[in-house]
Amino acid sequence: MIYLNLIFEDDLSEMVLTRLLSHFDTKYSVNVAYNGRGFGYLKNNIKGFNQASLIIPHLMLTDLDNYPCPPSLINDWVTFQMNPNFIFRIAVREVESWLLADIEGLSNFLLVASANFPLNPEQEPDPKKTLIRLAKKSRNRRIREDIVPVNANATIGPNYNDCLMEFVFNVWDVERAIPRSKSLEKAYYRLDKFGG
Amino acid sequence: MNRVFMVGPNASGKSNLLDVFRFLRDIAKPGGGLQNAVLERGGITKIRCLAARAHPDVEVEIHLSEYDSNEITWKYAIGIKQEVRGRRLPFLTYEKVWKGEKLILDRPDKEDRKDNERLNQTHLEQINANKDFREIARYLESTVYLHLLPQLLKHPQSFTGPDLPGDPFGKGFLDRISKVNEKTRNAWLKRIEGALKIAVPQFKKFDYKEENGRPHLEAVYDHWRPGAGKQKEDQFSDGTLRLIGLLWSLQDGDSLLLLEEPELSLNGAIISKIPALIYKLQKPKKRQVLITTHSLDLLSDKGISLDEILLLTPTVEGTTVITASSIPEIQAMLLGGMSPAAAILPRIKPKNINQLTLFSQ
Repeated sequence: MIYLNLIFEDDLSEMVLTRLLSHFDTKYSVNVAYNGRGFGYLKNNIKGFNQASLIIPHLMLTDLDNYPCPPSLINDWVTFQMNPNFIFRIAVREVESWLLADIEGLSNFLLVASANFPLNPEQEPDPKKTLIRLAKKSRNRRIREDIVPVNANATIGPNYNDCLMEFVFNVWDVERAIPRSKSLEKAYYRLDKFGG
Repeated sequence: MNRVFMVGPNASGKSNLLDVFRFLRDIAKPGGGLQNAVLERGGITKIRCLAARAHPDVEVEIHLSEYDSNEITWKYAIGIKQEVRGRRLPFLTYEKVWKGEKLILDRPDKEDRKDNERLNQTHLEQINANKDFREIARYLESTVYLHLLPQLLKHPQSFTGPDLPGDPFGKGFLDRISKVNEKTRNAWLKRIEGALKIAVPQFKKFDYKEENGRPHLEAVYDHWRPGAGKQKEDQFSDGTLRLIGLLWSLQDGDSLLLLEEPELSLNGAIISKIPALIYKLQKPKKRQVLITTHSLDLLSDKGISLDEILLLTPTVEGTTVITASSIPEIQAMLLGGMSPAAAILPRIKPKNINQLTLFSQ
């Protein structure tokens, strides 16, 4: 069993990582989870976590957001020698696109016809917005109220994270999602090969 | 360590750890004693460890050394149990004192075996018996604990009933101020005024007054009507009162100081100054300060050593306490430029916090 520490931007990313790791049965066990509450904490402290990987493996997941491509983010963030025990993964463009990649699951959960879903979620400039746009079409009132922002001055709905975490926990299927997301696939194979 | 910061999730035992020292104070103080100290806490059943099974004895051992020294000058240890029948009073299973390495008190002794009831009292609480280690008693009885609740101070009439011993929540905080002699009081208040001028916008001046024999604090604020800016303590903001309480207690006394979440109601920028402030004010007094906290701002101070931080982790078998420096990965993180807060605080949370939000629906 490999014990590792997780570092991520928010609760939703943690749930995604937890599900991703559980795909490898008992290979991984989470030692400590660091919730950065935004990318600033991750960016500021990445060197410290890399250093700490000398002691115990660390897995960091961040969103690509507005960087043009993953290498440009890495160029900006990683100004040091990366430790082999430091697994740094980037979701293109946001972890929501990994959710959108499981079209069957998400369409069932949101109660929105799968025809409305983008076939290539990594090409979505703002996956959060895409997901919210889909949720607006939901036939379930609770889904709409949870995920869609109350007005133009909020970016996400009042129960956005909890609602989507419920989806990730109960429905989201890594294998269904992988074919539609290169960054998820890469993360998966890195974890698959790690320690082997 | 002269400063100790205790961090841990809710209900992990931070306040209980502080209460250990208040408990010893309650035994040692004049009019205190073992029976009172236990009774005030609701009996042994309320004190004993929830995880204990076969041997629910309560045991406390403290080591005392001079400020900035690691050499142990005194050790004091007690074990307490409750009588199984009869009056069900708490009694000592042992009481031991070491001066340096030498054991100078070892109870139960011959006298105790002759008269069991002697074990209902510690030697620490008795002037007759603590002659050889009175230093310990003096030190413990002057322990200060402050967790000032602004509402209690603002509306004392709404909280009637007997006052709590030692006034832990600052209900009689103003009386405490009034008891200090005038010269000292003015000097301390002056220093607080200086800090408030920086921390509280529009704050100008700060006075101590007595009206009809009741002590009051009065502050003058900048206002377009010069006479209108005066406010008494019941109009102060919660944060102002907390800050006054904190700054006062740091100056008051030179024994152990216990601070419960000093960050409450305060602005982040002020909180980040607290560790340095504690250091500055404790140094001339050579006193130890124990602090519980949940604050990111407070622990962001890179001047805090990992040895000064205690991590409390609840487990099935009770809470474990370790220093942050004993976790190698945290040391590595600081080497990589992280602050203690960034390396430690995200660890401090209930394990399954996310499941909590999921299943409450």
